[in-house]
Amino acid sequence: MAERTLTVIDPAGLHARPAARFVQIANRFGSRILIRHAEREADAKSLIALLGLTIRPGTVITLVADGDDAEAALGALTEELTPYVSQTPASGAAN
Amino acid sequence: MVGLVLVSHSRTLVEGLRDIVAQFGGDEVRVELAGGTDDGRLGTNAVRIAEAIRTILGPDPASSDGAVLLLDFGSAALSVELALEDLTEIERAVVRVPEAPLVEGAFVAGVQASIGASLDEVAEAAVSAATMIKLPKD
Repeated sequence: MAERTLTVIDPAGLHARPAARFVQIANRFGSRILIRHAEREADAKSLIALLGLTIRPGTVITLVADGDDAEAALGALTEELTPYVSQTPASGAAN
Repeated sequence: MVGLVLVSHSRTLVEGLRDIVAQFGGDEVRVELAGGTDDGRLGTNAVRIAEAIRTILGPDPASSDGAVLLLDFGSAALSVELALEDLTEIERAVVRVPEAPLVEGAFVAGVQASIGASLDEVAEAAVSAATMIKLPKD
């Protein structure tokens, strides 16, 4: 199980463009990947589920991956989100 | 890769929608359009719809990944029905017409197709677009 906590800084939140890219990249990995926001979570491989979180700017999200390629998946996803998020120190993690 | 056929009364509407699919799903997602009448008016055209489906399926429909067709409303459904009647059984077997919104369905289905999903998975993604949450709840 791997985990990353990030803060969304893009003024539009996690909007359609990054969400679509995020889902495309998540689907390249075999691991089960979840994105947690507040008390909700969504399958990171489902665009409709991800958009349903309506992630706004300034909110903390946690990516959780479980599987053989979990670390690689979170590395790739975090890199893709780089323009939209800041890395939140682990001590400040919401989960 | 599964392709999309976008059917609307308006040619310009589906042209814009094709841009959206290319932007979010990627240029490799194949999209065929059947928007408006042959003489440029608002309306739907069964012949053009059948043509668009066949373009996606290619010369060997049996080995095609298939086409998901999305339509706007009203007589578009009748034109689609006529177009489907014109297809061979082999062609018809690899076409899905999900109950889905046109714009949101094309966006979600385009992304789903881009990740190499199956015909039924792309059709299901389009259906799920009907419940897309757009406005923040808090």
